[in-house]
Amino acid sequence: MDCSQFRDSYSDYTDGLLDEAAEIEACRHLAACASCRRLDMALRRGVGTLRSLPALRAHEDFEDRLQARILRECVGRREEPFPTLKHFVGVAGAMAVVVAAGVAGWELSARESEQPTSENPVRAVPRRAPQARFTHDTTYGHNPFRVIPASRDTALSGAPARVEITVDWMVP
Amino acid sequence: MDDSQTREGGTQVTLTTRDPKAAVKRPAQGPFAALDDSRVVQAFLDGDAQAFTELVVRYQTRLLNFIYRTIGDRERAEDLVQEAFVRVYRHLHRFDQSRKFSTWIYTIASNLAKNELRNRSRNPLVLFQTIKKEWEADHRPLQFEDTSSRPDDLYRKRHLKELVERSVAQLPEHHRVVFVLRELEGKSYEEIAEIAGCNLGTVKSRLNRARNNFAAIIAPLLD
Repeated sequence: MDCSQFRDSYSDYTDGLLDEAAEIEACRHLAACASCRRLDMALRRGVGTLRSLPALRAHEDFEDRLQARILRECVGRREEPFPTLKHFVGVAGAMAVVVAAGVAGWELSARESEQPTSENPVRAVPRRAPQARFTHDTTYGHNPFRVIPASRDTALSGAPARVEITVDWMVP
Repeated sequence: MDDSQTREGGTQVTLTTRDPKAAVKRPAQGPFAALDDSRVVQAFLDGDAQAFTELVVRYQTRLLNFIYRTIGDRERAEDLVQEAFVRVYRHLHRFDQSRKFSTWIYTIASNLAKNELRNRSRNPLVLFQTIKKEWEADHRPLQFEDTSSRPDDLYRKRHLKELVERSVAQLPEHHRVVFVLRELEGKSYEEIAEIAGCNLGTVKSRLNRARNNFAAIIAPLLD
């Protein structure tokens, strides 16, 4: 083993990770090489000194300052460090939007499947009455839109309740 | 190094609140002294604010020394330790409890230290303050801590202490972090890899270079 090889495996040698044969080689090299021995002694002495240094201690008011900081940063800014009702409300709202989008998509695909096709004309069924309709109505002045409540249409047509919004652009 | 440091005593403190006002008040004798970190973390997540105090007591000195060895500024190191605990308080509910808490908190501290060094290299004011501080340290009068020892021994001891501290500070940042974690904090290679965010091979390579560099820097100073 030469100096370069010894220094490449020096960390493993220090931590006792070399296999038996390699360790014997390293020990032989160390015994024969003054330069590597000096390096090894320097590391051991330096690390020994570092470890013997007294540990730094935090200032006495460390915990008071930490408490004040936690109060200021977590409570002062109304940040909740843990999941609370507010978080769950947000999650529930997001889930509601996803469910609504899913229902709307399902309705749309169901309606498309009800359209008559050349292969299956029997599938054609009457269109159900909408629950809400946006119409253009100039009688309302600045607001050209008017919402017709769902109940009026559904009551008149007797159609089953549905989640559906259609926009009919009717020019008088 | 064990995760849990047992302390004497065992009077029950029954606080079942997560009130931040109570989170850092040190109990005279904690009920958590015999528990390992994971149980203390669980107690905190279950609403016991005093469990957080136990974590602060266990880790404040270790983190302070680790960050100080990495950045070389005591006051700033204490600020960063505070920041580390604030982050632990905020994000403990997201901590994966299959991992070691000590590795997680050291990872937070290590990242804060790295950011500090990065910011410092970009900020000329901080650089000036560091140089000024080092100049003041070089020119302050000698203080003899122990009057029972010979002054020349004390001088040599203090000189050696300064030499090794400077030698550590001269290591490149990513070598220094690995060196400190291994030699001073006693972390395993696997833990160091997790804390430093690199693979095992990189840890071994950095540690080998760090040890060789440290020895090469300090050897002529010790002759």
